[in-house]
Amino acid sequence: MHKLPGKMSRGWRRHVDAHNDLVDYVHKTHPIPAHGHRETVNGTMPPPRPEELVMQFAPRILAGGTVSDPVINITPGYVFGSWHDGSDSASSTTEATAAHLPEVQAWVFEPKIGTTSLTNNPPPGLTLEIDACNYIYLELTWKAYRSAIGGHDYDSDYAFKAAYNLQVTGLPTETETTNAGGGVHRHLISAGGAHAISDGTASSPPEPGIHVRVDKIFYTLASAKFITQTAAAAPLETELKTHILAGYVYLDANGDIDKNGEDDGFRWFLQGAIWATRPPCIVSGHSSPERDEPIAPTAATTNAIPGIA
Amino acid sequence: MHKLPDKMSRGWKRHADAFNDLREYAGKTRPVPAHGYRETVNGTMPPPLLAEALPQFAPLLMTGENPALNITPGYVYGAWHDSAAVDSSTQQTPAADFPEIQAAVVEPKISTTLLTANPPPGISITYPGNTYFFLKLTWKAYRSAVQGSYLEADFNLAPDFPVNTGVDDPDLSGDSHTHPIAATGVASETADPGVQLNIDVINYILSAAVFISQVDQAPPTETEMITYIPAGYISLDDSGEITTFGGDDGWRWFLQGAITAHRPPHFVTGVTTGQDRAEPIAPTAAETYTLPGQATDA
Repeated sequence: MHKLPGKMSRGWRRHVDAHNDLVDYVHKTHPIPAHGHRETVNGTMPPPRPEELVMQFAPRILAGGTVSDPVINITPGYVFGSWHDGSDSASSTTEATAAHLPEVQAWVFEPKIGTTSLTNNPPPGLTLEIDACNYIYLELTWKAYRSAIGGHDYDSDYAFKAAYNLQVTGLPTETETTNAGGGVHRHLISAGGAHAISDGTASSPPEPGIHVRVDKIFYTLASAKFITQTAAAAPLETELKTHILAGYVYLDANGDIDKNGEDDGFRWFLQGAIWATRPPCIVSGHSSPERDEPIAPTAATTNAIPGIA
Repeated sequence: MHKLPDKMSRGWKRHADAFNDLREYAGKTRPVPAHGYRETVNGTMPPPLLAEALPQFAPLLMTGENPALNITPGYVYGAWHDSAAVDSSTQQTPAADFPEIQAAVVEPKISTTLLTANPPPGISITYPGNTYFFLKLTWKAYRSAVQGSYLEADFNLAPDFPVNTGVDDPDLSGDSHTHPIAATGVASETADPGVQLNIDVINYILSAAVFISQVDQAPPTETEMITYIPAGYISLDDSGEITTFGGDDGWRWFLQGAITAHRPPHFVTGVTTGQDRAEPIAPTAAETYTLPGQATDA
């Protein structure tokens, strides 16, 4: 620590008093070298600023009147989603190797813009339109894996076995009386009345009883990429394509970020790693159902977007 | 605020001018007591340094002779149910179609030490070579009958009765004749009737989370109750410093922020006997995965 000059005890009193007052003042106001501050011969050095913390999926917008092609960059980030080697690009296929759970419950994926990973150097950018509100989505593409569930043998596969308690009523107890020319007579049927239904013995289907064929479709993540659109309505999803709204930015005719009427001009929703899940779907295991399932999603019309009235 | 001394207006001019210049300099260069700076009788105290705000699960890497990885504290959210067991085969007594807590919080460990422990735990890194870090999640399961008992099925069945007898009765008439049989019967229900499908749902809840490392690039084979999240990887050279290997990156870290862990439910037969295979089928090893930043199979 630098040493404060001593006070004057001799000399012209007027100068001595002034000097000593200034020494007191300098002592009282000098920066104390604490909390990262460090004295040097050229002054007191404050501590270095901590390295900028960049969160995953932070937006970087390059726009404004001097920018001819406004663009948004997105800092690298990761999406976690299930993985299975044999997943198919359609849910209609029953896989040859049965599986009920993905091989990896939460694998890691790096999103792209176009065909370029976010970590690329130079980083990819999404082109923004001026005089429009640009909605940025993270589009997730899924694959599906379909397999029978149930645990009971059925027709070279598996099914749920149902319990049943059924009986047949109305069985005739006897034939009607008929005069066939040889006198009135009747033929008795010994096993008349009501009888319980039991497992059959027919050779096809091979397993007796009642079986319900059910398939489980579980979804695994295939890829993720950012897209942009100017339509306010969310993109129409499909069974294998979903979208996460990342944010929106409104650029006026000059390319500047501005409010769009009463709506906010800019909001960004993503921060940190993304955990994507697509819950499994249970469907009929029969090969020719009367409708295809799962039913495809319809367009959302009543969803609200934060900041947009 | 400390008062700046008065200017000298009298005295030996050479000294007075020098004093006033120094006084003005001292006034201009003193730290202004704002933004947390505080004047004391012994000087101006700067504010304490703010603790660096790191996101959850940020890696703190120490390379060199004894490379190690610390991970800032973070939390994993997953479902919770008191009655969950360590396997899914147990038929739980209390029926529950939902977990008791949809998103309970779990603090991961390194080995047996919580990330918030002081001193914090670390993962030693072997070198030279590659190390892959995973967050290992341990699940429990509870099993409950869907619909409380059984799914009752509608049915539309009819027995196939004989329409006519074909009796040759030569003793009475000498003629071959038939006797019609009256109306076809119907299948109907009796007590506790119908067709019932016994289905159980297995719900998974998060039990524990621990960071592990391995030198194999292939992810560990999961089980019904153990899953793994890739957290990152590192490649160290002979000196314990980060290096690339081939065209692949030498260091990537994927986690940031709280983790939402989810293990979707699974439906199985509720019949306790006579099953022809145990379900759910255990996961197999993944072989065709790709890690971000790695194009090659190390």
